[in-house]
Amino acid sequence: MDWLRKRRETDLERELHDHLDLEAEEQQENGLTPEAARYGARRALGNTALIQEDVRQAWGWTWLERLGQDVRHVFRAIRRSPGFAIVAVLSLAIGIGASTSVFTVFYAMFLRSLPVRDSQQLRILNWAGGENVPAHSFSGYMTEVNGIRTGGSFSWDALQAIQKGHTGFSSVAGFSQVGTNVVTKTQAWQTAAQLVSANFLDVLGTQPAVGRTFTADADSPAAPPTVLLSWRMAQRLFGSERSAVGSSVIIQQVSYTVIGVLPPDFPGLRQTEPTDVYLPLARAHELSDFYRFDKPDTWWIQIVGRVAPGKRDREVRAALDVILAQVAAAYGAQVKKPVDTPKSVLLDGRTGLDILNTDMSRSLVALFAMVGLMLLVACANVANLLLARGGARARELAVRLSLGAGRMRIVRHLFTESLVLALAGGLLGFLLARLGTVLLAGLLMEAYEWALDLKPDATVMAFAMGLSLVTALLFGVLPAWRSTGVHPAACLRQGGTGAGSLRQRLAKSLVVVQIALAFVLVFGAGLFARTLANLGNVSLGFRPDKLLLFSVDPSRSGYKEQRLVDVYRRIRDGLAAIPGVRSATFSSIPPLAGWMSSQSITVPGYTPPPKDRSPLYVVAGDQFLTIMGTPILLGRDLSASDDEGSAKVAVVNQTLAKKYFTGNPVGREFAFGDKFTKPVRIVGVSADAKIHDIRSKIEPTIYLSYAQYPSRLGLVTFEVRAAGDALSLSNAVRHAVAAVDVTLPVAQIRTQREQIDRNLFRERTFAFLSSFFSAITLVLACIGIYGVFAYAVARRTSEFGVRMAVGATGAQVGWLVLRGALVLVALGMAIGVPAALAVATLVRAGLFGVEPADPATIAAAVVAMVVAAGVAAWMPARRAARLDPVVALRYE
Amino acid sequence: MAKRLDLLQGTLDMLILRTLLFGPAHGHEIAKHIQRTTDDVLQLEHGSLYPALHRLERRGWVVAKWQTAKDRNRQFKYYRLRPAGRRQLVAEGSRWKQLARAITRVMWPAEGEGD
Repeated sequence: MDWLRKRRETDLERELHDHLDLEAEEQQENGLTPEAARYGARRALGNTALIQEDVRQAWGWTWLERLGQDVRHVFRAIRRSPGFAIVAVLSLAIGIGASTSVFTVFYAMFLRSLPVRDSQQLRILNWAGGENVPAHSFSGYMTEVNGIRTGGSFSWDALQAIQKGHTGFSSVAGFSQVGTNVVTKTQAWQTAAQLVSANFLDVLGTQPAVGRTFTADADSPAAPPTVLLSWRMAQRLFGSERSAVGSSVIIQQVSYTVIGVLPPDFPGLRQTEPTDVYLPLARAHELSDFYRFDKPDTWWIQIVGRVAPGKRDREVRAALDVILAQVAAAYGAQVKKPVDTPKSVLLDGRTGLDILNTDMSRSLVALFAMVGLMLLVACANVANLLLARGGARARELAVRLSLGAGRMRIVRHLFTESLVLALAGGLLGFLLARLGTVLLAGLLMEAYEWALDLKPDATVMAFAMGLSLVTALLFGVLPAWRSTGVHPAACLRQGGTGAGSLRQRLAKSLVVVQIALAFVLVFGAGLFARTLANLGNVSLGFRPDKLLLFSVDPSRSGYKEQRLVDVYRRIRDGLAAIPGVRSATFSSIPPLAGWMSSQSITVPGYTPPPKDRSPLYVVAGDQFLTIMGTPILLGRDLSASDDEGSAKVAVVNQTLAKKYFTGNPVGREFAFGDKFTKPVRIVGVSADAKIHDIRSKIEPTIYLSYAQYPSRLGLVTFEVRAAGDALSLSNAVRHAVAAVDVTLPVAQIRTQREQIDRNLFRERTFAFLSSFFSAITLVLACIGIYGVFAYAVARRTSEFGVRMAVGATGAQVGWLVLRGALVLVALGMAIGVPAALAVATLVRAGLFGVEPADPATIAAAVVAMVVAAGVAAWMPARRAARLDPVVALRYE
Repeated sequence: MAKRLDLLQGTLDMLILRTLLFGPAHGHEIAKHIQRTTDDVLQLEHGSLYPALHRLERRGWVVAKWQTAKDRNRQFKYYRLRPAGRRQLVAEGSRWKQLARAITRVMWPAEGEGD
């Protein structure tokens, strides 16, 4: 802009110079002397400086030049008082950085499109229907709200009909999840695989990075078994993607040829839980007894489709509804029963299936709220700094106003200053967010195996910059308007301190808002911290120390019935023989991992109330309770002699004994189901122990012997009680399992303590992040308090001088300042406490052992705020107390 | 010199545009042309020409370019009429004619009838 203006100036000078030359030449030709001619020319032209000024006026100022001028001015001002700029930019950078970090994770998880062709055409098909929709078993998910059931899975028949029918989908594929053991000559991995139609990758719009996708005949069970691997799985198993293609892997005793490896950035339909193995859907029956092609009431296939260009969702749904009705009618005719016809529901498939991860999205929304509050406090801080600076610059602005600068022009100038600060804060925040994102993702990924693409892209950048603009508006407009609302003459007369008291009031209101917001965060952090502490103090009913856990699933490697029972026993015996292992056992449920299984029971003499909850059951190895450290109160523990040849027995916990029986239940019987057939005899009563989840209360629980219930086993968790450090046994444990069967993958080796931490992952994350954010917010609020009172003391110096001169002590004056701060804290609390209580009820579900309106937490938060504010106001108060009255009176 | 008339607001713009109808010209040429064609009645203060020229340029009615003069080896800043300026000239000219006719009719009713 500058060079443009300079060039125009030299142009004009040259132009006027030319004019003078020509005019002088002409006059000389008319007979004047060179001297006289030049003089005459000059007279004819007029005052050059005035002409230049007029021309400049004609040029006018473009908004760009004005902006450039403002920005230059701002940088000059910042150079003059860098401290102000540093505090402002840092406050904003922290607020914007934290918000951007949360946004980046949220965006990567829920908003980023799959890396496939035309992802906007993808739809996930769901259904909605009444009670009698003929769906009897599910894969995927199902919910029921007000009698309307919605689900994400369909029968094999439905998939066939939809694939063949005219639906407005250009292509349709089915898929289903299944757990597998993937085995090579040297390795074995437990992993989730996806069973897919042969055209799955074409429908999704991607292709293997190496090798090829399934051929059409893969949809037939007769085709040779082929498999696709993710990039990372290929690396894991074969070292490189190239050597993977053509190799073979064993899955459920079948040898599959690897035909292709997917691109490294392709996570599958779940971005948060990438799929590593893709198998043909036609082989589903080999992988799970659940998955049947011949049962139209077994619904286990999820469906993804690509809408043909130009087709509306409404048209596609109408066509699908017809097909679903035909499928339901065919089934109804077969079973000779009326069945409800489900209606089709189309979900946006752009981001895959993660949209359904509502638990995580809710947590992230709560985090958003926290960082949002923090950012508001930061904005209030900067607004206050600007107000104070507006005070210091009142004289300058008054001079400019009285020289004729328009108010809008000055407001714009001041707002430019806010904008520059905000953009600097936004830029720094964006850089901070790269660090924050890594930390946040690290926290979140500890619990889940996530492979999120967290690279900041244009959207994240736009978010950070947009946020800076919003903050600039939030903190910039008020001070700018305020600073120019002075009467220039009055201000200049008062020596540049005009409108001071109003500004002080405004600054104090901002501090009150800051205190209120900070209180909400501090109180929230207190609740989350207490929740975590309460959970840490929960009595578990077993000894979690020196306990190593890992999981094995021999049923996915072809073990069944008696062989299955034997392999568990052999692994257990192998583990028990490891030096440093006290004892080992196993259970169908990993302790405190959030898993549960339950089944209703019938007890003679017990009439269940309506909607009675079924007891939990655990199928476990012998001596399970003893090894876990849960006392047996009556009778005995499960023993090795409780096998398939002996009568069915169970150990029950105290809660079950109390609920179903009066007196000693040992020797009494119950039966699974609602009829008293195949009775199970109770041989022992154990103390209550938590097995499902730390948070939930103890439920009636039944412990069954593994040798008597092999059909209820598959994936089991082994519990290894160590003499010393549990984790150091990891390698020995792997070897012990490999010694039994080298193709059995050992998964999820962790100590019981780690398992508990993982179970409490959300609480720990929240306790940590909310404490962290509230600490920063508190510091920001303290800076605000300090700023306002430092300024107030400077302004009232002479007043304090008078007070001291007439006999007030330093302590009294200091108290005057401190009291002012405490009044603001009290006002802030008056807003903050009700606000915090209202917010706390929203997070009630996330709390444990503490009420949202917990008085102790409120008291603690109040004390924290008062102390923080006291410390912040202490320095200005001390300065006031130490004033020398003589110096103070001479001030100004 | 004694007969010098003040130009009405906006009239100078019109005269400049009209002058440029003959082709591109630099500031001095424009000044001289206006002076000569009005028989020196409009003794234009050369200085007022330049703000006007720059204003016309900013409005997009004329465009300026440094060019070598035909008769000498030296560059001058030449102004050229743009289509928008041509339209402006037509509009301005007819407005001026209307105004002049109206004034004439008031001042010299008899003469006015004859036209």
